[in-house]
Amino acid sequence: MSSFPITQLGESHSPEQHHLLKIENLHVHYGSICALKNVSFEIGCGHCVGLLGQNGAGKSTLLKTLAGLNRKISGIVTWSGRPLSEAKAEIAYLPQVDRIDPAFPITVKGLVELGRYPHLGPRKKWRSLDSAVVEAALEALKLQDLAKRRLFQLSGGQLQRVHIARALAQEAHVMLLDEPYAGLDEPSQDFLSQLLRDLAQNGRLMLVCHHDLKAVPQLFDTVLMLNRDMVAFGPTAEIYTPENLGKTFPGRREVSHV
Amino acid sequence: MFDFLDYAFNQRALCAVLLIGFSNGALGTLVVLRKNALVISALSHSLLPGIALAMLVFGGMNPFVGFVGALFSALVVGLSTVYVARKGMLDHQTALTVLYTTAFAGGLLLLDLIPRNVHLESWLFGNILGLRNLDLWISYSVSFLILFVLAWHRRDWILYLFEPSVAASMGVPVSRLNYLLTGLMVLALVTSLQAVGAVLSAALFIIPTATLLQWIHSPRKLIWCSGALGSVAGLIAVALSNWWNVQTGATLILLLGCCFLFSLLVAPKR
Repeated sequence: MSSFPITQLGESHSPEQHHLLKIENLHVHYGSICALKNVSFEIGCGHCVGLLGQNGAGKSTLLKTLAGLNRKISGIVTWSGRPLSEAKAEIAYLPQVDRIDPAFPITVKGLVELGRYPHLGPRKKWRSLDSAVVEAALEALKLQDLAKRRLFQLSGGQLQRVHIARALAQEAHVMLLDEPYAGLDEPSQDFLSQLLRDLAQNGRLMLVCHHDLKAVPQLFDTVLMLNRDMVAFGPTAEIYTPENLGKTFPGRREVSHV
Repeated sequence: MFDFLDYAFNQRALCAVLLIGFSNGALGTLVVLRKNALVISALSHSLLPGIALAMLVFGGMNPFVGFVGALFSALVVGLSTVYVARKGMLDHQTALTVLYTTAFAGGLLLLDLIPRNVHLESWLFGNILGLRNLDLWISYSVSFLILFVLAWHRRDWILYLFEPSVAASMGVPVSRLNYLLTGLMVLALVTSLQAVGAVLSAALFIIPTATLLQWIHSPRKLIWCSGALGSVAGLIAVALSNWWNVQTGATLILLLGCCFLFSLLVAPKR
């Protein structure tokens, strides 16, 4: 499980300068409610970033904004110097797994095929290249044997892998994952954290919402701490301090000993 | 055995039921997978004020007047639901219930203003043998519009049904599809009124897909097979209702209901 043959999908990954996610002074409002303010950071590929904060701190809002789901934002968000709306294929959004109806009439392979949508051109015609990319994505996540299964026949960990395979088939450089560890047993959590690290090492940028604080230094090389306002951003070793945790989780006691 | 087809009204009924069965069955897949089954029942109630108003304004009942009236009120209720749900931070079902019950109440009051008219009954419970050529032309156009939109935007629809937020992140025009689906639902509902009436029309959308959902694992196949099931059931229903001399609309729905029950009992267990 140490490495995945996933580098070969799509064009080779260029140095970090070309694949840079840049956010300047981002504010997001829902009606009169301010969900997120003063968020500014920039980061290139090759990192696994944990978004930390309480419920309602703006983690999901930030992911949705990067996925292009919030239209009314102020601030500048660019990927490789271009606005996000021009980079739909580059960014894969993976909502919480329980948002997806397990009874939906689709197989594992069918779900992974959905990832090809942004590449299909205006007439949405399926090509042999698309089949090849889907096969490679299934293989990379060792899902070939499950390809014909329905979603309700999968465990939580397998389901998470299927969604990541969909993002691989999309050939996305940025993957936005909302609470991927929620509801997974320990072996699946370990498998997933290894997988996310491998994907980052293979030149992707992983942005992961996370609410459990125990394993943060093992899971993420970079953290973004949010409390509606941006508390801190940077390498986990420098930023993940009791002081910042206190600001991110005011009133929560067990964080002080981390 | 098939000599009932000698009559022109039976031929028209057969054409209509094949078309309506197919387009409503196919569109019904979208309705079911979007979990809108109750929405379609609610919308069918909202047709009443439009039909009543049209009768009041035009002083009588004919297919075109009924069609325009029903279309108008259902579109108003359907599209404003999407709008109200968005603006008012209400969930879709709450917004719809507020609007359709209000519309239905308005329709009841309007009915008191017009002299009782037997033809209204055919709009509520369907009268497929009373179809005229104009009705058939309306059915043709609506069915082809629905099938064209379903085939043309196939991949958009599937992503949209799967998870709207994922679809939107990939550039699928989700809010446009929301309005489009509501608009198509209303159109299909109004055209199926003649066949099965406002009360039973929801069944024509929901039951074919609900039946096949137990067997088919691909949204695309589900769409076309649901259409085929709707058509075949319609064909059999026209024949049965002629042989037994009973209502076609009710026969059709009962037949579909039996298909569902059968498939529920026979389908492989999860």
